[in-house]
Amino acid sequence: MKKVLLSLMMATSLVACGEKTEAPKENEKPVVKIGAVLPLTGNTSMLGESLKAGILAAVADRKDTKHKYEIVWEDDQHSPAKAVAAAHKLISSDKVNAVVTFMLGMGRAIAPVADRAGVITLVATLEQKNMKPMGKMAIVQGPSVESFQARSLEVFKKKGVKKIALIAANVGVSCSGTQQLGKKLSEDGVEAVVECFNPGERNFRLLLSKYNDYSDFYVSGFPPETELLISQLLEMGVKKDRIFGQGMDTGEIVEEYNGINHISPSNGTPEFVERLTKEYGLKNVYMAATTYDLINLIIDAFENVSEKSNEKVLEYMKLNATRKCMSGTCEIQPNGFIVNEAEWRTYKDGMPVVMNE
Amino acid sequence: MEYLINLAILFGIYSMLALSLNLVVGMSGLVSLAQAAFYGIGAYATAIGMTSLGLGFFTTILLGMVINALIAFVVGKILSRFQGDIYAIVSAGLSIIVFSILLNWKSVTNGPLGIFGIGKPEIAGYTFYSNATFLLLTLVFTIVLFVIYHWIDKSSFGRVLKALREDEKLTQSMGYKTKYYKSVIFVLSAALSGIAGSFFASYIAFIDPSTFQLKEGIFLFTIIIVGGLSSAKGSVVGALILISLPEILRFIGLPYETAAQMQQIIYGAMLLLMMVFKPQGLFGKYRM
Repeated sequence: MKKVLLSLMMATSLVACGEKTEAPKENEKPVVKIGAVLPLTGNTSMLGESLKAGILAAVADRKDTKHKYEIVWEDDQHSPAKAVAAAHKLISSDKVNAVVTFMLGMGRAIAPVADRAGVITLVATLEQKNMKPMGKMAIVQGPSVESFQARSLEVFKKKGVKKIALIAANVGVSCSGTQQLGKKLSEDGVEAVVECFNPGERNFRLLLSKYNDYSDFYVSGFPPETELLISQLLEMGVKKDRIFGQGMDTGEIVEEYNGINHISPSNGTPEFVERLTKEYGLKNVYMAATTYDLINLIIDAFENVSEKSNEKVLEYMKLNATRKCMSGTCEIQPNGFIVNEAEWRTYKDGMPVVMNE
Repeated sequence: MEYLINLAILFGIYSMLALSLNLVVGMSGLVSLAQAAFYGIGAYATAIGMTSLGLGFFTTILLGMVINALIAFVVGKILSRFQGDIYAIVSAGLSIIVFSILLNWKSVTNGPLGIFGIGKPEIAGYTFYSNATFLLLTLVFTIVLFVIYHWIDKSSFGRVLKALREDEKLTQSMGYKTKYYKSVIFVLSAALSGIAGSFFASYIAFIDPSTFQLKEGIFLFTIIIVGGLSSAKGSVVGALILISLPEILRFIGLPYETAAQMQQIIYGAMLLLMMVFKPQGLFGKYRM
């Protein structure tokens, strides 16, 4: 038994301490390593796959670069504790220059670790206005909850919504954002009720039966809950064009989505979406444009600074980031946030179509 | 080296949790799935205490322990009436209730958004800011819990718990009030889990309810089963294996397209094989 334990400890020490010697030959490009801590397994793995595709596309698009960009993938299973363990491995063992991750929780867990090591943190997430900086070396990109609300209100108005049930998962900013949306709708004279459910809920029939006389529904969260909600709403006889929501277009039953109104983070251009679905076999695309932008942002900076230092790269990013990007405009605010606009989309023949105009 | 230090901190935290859980499950034979709840309460006591109330880390440890002890006292009164499967179900219920409270009592816990910016421990102006010093502090507390476990194990109190584990009715017939013993060990275990929660909150600097779900309780259960029931050494070794195994798998060089999924499969298969060939765990005295 002692031998087994000793071997286990030695194995851990060896793999962790073993410096991976890159020793690039003189004619080889210097390597910039970017760690990607994403939910690659578990309930939210479909999001991880989409975010991963955005990163791969960004690296593939940058060919004539001074540096070689290498991505080191780590799985966090959507757990902040696992994300921190992965970040420690990436920073200490892989010596990455930056870590890219998804969602507020993971960003908030990783940013202090990365800050201490002088490593840049890039976070793709939904955000709220006036948020405190996540870290001194953190850049956070995504649409704000306020932008979701503004876009949703605009869509509700266009669709003549007078009475609506808003149903949201109690995850991230989903429930609190939907509650704020409900309040705004009530202020506008719309009869709105808000229900939040805990993640893991599968049967919504009982909840929905309370709203038999409602014709309009708003759904917020992630699959499989949102997919089930949609199926059960359709089962109730709700018309597809009277279903609204956000985050639900991350599922795989895209054929069910034709006509449903999604208020979502930008997906970039239709060509970009088509490319990702074809090249990376995605059924659906979610925030891939955001990870694409974040990776492009950091590649731009590494290509333009004279010295390969993370501080200089961050400084460059902050000073030069006002530019067109896949998600719209990528201007970094003083708190390190890039706020994008939410998009109104629907599906036609299983493909997303932007409806903003 | 920094990576190993971080791994060792996690190992220390999970050792504390496993030791406290083994008091209830291993020593007393009570199948408790409530440990994640007490772990979470300890973590939230530190998070809220340090960020909102301006308390010091060590004060929040005490706060977490007291809250846990009070809750465990009340719940323990109910739980002490049960045994076996029913005990497991009722304790799992507590875990689910606490998770729901952490998720929904937004004015206090900040709901699913969690609490961030949790500080580091400080004694007389010295802050355990670096991971190395934080590790030392974690190990000191782990050793203290290890000693407490041993002390209980060797005491007459511990002997009654073991007797209770073998045959509760027989123990009662010898004049021992088994409900009292079951309540006391449950309260003690809950209070000690709170310490691990406090360390976790300060170490990660951010907590949200997702960490303290029932599945975390099952993970802790796995640690003590792999390490061995009713064994302090087993608790620590179980924590070492289950914390380091997924980390070792990060380095085995699987193709990145399937690495994350393969790691999970290998991890599961290894645990399965272990249970087939060593069902009582590495240092266990009993089987489940």
